[in-house]
Amino acid sequence: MISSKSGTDGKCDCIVTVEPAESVTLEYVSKNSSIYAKRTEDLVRRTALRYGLNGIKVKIEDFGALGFVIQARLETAIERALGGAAR
Amino acid sequence: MNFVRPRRSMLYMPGNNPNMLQNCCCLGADGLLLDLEDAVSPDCKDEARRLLTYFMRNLDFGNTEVTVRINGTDTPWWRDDLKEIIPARPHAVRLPKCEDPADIRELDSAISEIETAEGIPSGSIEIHAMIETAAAVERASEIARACPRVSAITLGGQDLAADIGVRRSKEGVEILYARSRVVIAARAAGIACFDTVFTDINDAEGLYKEASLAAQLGFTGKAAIHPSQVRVINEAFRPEERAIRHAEKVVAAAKEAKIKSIGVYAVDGNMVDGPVVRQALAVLAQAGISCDPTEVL
Repeated sequence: MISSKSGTDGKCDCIVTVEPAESVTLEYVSKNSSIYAKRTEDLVRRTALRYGLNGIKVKIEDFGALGFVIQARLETAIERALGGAAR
Repeated sequence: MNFVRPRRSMLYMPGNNPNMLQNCCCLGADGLLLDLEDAVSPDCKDEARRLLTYFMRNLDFGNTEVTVRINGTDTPWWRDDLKEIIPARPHAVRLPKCEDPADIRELDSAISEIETAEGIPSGSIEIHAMIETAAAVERASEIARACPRVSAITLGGQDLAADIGVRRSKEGVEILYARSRVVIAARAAGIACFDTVFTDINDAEGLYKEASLAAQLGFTGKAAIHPSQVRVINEAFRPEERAIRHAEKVVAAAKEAKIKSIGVYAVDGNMVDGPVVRQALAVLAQAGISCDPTEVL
């Protein structure tokens, strides 16, 4: 696994950065961090599990993205980090 | 209920822009063209595909026709486009720069494989083929009939002008022959046809003139590249009042005939059959008047 990212800083989008780590961690940056942080952490943990990743460091800069947009960007970042491996 | 959709305006939406995508359903377009080709840079194709699949699965598009413009069969991306997009079940896939019926058949075969693997009814996802070169214009009829999945052909005026070696003008004289050729090829094959985009987003009058010409030539609808163009195109493609009134009479007669199980009937002295009723439904749909075909056919 290598470091990788997906998404843009455009309105309603997010930038997801992933890199190898010992455990699953999330740094969530948003104007509404306290409201959406928990939801996003659940999403990250579920997704890491689905990809069989025990450790991954995820940073999400949220510019007002819907939940499924974050999901899509996260999946792309992970797949790029894994070298294009399928879900 | 399976209402006949109006198909006047087909609005392009960049496939990697969540802000535009999440608002696309309320812009009044009859159809959306979610773009993975020109609007997405090569290094963003993968994230755009994934984003589009999530939008298609999560947004309620209502009666709006959803088409995804994939990358051409001469690129390394089109098969991956299909693998992601087809399981999300768009109404159609738009193939750019189609020059040869063999391109269509290759696409048809690739879609069929995914439909089978995903348990999607065979042939349910349609193909719209883009005619964008002189060679493609010459083969428009063959392309329109390449396989049953082809439900529309569509003119790409910018690329065509470049291929012919002319500059696009607002009058569009340079692509008039191609426009007519595409319409005739589509109508002879019994499928729809969509006109090219009008690129000056600040010229509503010019757009109305061009869309009116397209409607007069026989196009089903026209592509839009900006939300502000949708209303203008819809207005230009709205059928004449007289045609709408006649279609309403045909549909009313068809409803009554169906209730009374009458097989043969006339409207204004002309016999009415299935194709006449279907044409009336299409006229009403273009006028934005919904009608359930199961009530009349």
